[in-house]
Amino acid sequence: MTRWLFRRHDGDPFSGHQCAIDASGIRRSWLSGKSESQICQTDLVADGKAVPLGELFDVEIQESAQDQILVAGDLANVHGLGAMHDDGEFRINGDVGNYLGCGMTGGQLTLQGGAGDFVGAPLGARKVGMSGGTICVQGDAGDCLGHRMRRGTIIVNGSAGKLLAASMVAGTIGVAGTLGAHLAVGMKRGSLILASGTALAEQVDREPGARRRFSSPVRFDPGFLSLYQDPRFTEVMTPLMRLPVFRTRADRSAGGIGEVIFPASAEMTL
Amino acid sequence: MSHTTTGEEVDSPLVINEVRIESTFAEAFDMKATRLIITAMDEIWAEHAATAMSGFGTSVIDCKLEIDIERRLSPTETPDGRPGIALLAFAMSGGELEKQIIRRAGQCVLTCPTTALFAGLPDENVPRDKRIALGKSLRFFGDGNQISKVIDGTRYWRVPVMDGEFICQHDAPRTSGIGGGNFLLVARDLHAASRAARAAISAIESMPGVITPFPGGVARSGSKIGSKYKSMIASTNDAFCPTLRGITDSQLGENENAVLEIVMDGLTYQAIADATRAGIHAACRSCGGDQGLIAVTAGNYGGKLGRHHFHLKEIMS
Repeated sequence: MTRWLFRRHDGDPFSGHQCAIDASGIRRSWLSGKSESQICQTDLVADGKAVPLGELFDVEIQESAQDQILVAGDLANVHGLGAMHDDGEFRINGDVGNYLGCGMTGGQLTLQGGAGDFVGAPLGARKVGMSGGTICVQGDAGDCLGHRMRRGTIIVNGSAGKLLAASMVAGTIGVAGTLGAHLAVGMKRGSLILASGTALAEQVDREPGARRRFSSPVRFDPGFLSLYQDPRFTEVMTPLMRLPVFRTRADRSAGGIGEVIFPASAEMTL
Repeated sequence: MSHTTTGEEVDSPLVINEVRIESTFAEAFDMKATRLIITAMDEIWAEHAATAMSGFGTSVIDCKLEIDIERRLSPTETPDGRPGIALLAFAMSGGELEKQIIRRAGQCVLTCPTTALFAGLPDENVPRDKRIALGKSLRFFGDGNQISKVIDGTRYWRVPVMDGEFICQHDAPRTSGIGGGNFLLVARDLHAASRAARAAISAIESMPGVITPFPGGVARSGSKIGSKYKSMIASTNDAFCPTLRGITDSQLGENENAVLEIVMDGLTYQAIADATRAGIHAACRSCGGDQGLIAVTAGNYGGKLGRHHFHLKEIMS
């Protein structure tokens, strides 16, 4: 087993938000069996041009008990990290760009920081988003998290942006913080677990058409939540263990039966 | 030590609290086994489900499955943090084990309020053909409204039912087990035999990895293979029937008027050996001396039925 360490160079010509780096090529399956020099010569796309990976990252390979990819540095303009990740651990330190873990099929992805848009969404022109594994975002996430997600689990310990779980097909998303607009638009199936029902209630009150998207909430005994022993779920789960829990189905306007599970709140007027 | 042609060991007898331990062995055979965990909102519902699930599960001869409660579990020992009960189930083949488990789970656990059903054996990459369907089959009761959840690599099914959701693990691994471990308590009268049997069962029932599937853990109808009737594959063990002394080739002495048998199924040889030792010690302690227990012996078929032999003297020494 191998540990691959990638550290983003400081202050190189590709730094800064204007320059987007596509790091979706940093995959366990592509890295396996390659030497450090071979990895450094592999091209990534930065600012629309092919750039050898070695010009963007310092690379180091170590022996490890399990396959592990560690990425650190200023990653705010680095997109597609953890894309198509299939096995082992992918750990990232720092805020990252868009498409974190998109198309992921297995393994664990942990982000110590915030993520941009389209976490767990389809990669490129593919129609299906994440289909396995677990993504844990310790900070906030941007828009379209879990777009077209088919399987797997995403935990966000901060807030999530607009269009959360849009067109979600299956899987589980847990969000501890606040939510953006247009929650669960086109959601077909799957579970969206919210640590607070306040944002959902506000959205239903303010957003035209949102009331048609959700079924009437019903009291719900979320027995299956006690099966989540992973400590990364604690922040999302704790309010659901303490308060009465409700469930609504979405997106009913599109015939969807996805479930949105949330604890009772004073603002709840669904 | 030497053996006769019938499997009897010729040696000086072992005596525990004036109870003669016969120089013989119990003969047991290979089975397929699994452990299931039933949890519920409280111990009462868990007990109801486990009792129903383990009903009519005494012998593979006609029940096709030997199943019993292994032990009660505290909330800290169960997958969903609720009170639970672990059951062990044994059958002669993997296919039969799956068939019987699905039927019982569907009729006895799915139906019981507040319950959930989980696998209880360690799941170390057991291949698919060595797994027993649980939720994989029961999910269809949800009529399309069932929900699958993969949590820490394990698939569970949430089936909507009238009290909420029935949560059921997708499947359970099976393993090789041993069935038919046994010892016979030979007593002066039925009261003494009954007391000795209960003492033995009390000692065994808390032991992990072993069950005693007969009513109260005890069988009075010990059997031999075959019968004068062609349709019967087993018939009464006449050698130990006190009422047949003088008619058949009895193994009972003059004062030996009642015999009860403890039959054990276990996940390992050691589990059955430990249970045999604990049960015999408890029976001898409780009913030895002048309390009526005269001898302890074991049932075997001359070594022809099963490859697992539990020699009483070896185990008790």
